[in-house]
Amino acid sequence: MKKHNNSDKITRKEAISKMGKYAALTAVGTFVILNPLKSQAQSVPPTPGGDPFS
Amino acid sequence: MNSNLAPTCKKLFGDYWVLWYAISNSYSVVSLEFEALLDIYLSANSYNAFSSATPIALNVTEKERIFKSLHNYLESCNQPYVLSDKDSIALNTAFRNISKHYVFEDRSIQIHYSSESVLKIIHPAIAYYCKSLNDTINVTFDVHLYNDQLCLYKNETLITAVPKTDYHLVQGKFIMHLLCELHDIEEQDWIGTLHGSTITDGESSILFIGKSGKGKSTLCALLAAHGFDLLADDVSPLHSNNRHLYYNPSSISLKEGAFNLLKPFVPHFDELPIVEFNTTKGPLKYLPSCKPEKDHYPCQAIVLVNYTPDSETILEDISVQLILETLIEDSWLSPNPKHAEQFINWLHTLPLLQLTYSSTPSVLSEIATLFKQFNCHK
Repeated sequence: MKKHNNSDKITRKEAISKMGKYAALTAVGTFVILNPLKSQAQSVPPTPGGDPFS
Repeated sequence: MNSNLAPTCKKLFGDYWVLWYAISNSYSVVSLEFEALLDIYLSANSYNAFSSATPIALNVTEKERIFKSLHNYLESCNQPYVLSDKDSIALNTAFRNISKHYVFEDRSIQIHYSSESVLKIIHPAIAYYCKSLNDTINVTFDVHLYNDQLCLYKNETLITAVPKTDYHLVQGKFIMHLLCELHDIEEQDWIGTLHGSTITDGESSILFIGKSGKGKSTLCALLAAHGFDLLADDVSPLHSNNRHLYYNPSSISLKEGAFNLLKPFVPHFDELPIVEFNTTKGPLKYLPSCKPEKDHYPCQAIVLVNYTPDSETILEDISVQLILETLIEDSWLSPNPKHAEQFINWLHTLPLLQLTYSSTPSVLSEIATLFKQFNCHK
């Protein structure tokens, strides 16, 4: 599944060669980690609250 | 450095890499620079090796900072994905206080609810299919509230039990099992159930996404009233075998703010019952729509809905980061590596767009044009 083909290597090389200090320090501070729902669910209301059972 | 912490698969989307980690079923979107540094980190077998391999003029403190950030990032991405064990709660048929029967084409479903408030969680979205009881039942569901646990059973076997405030998890699980029944598909054959609404023109489909309350259901109701068909509202299932989006029979749920907009286009709109669910959502109406001709369609684009009062209609490319930030955390995606790879590859084939609009005629025209463009390219 890991694909290290030539175009990936070129892109990576370009990114490194162009990367200055500031870009490197900024880059490691900006990433996103996203976790899907562990169990299937429909839309959650934007603000929780409101008990359908009360 | 611990190359077993490396992402299981990844793909480049323009200026961003999308990475996936099997151990946690986490997705990550990172810049080109980040990925390059991550690669150095994973290839180096010590801090010194990392330090010498980083070809940037950084001082010691800065290199250490980068090293630590990458370490922490990988730690977060490698938190194991663990499903909590559900307590086994035996079915008590004495809780079958309300029984309803639904017919979806050739499938007949019976659902037993323990109370009116439990019924409101499931019934309104499928009320359109409710018929009088007849002899043939293909599958039986039970939805019971027992000691503040909301329990879902299928053919008297417990599927899930959650605290009652997590009722949306039962809704989603129920929809998954309903879809499995209707389409003769096993739960493990889905790549995921995406948080979005899907519209079809009879040949292909568009997945509309947006955080709750951003207007995707309203837009889809408008499109369904103007010659398009609704394939799925809110929960759009994606199949592993053909990467098509599949039909979900749930009616479109509309919030009160959309009633006046849709009333002119929907015959007998006022006769649709109002469902008071909870104070957060306010009064709702459920709008049934005709089933499309086919059960599934290929998706041609993902569109992030951005209703903005007084705006012009603009359809433009947006980044995979914005799409995934909107989509992933409210969707269920299979933790199976085969499905994750299929999901990323599928995503890579699609135009990723943002639709900003305020005017109904203008947005209808824009979507019609978009569908025509897909069909011309075939």
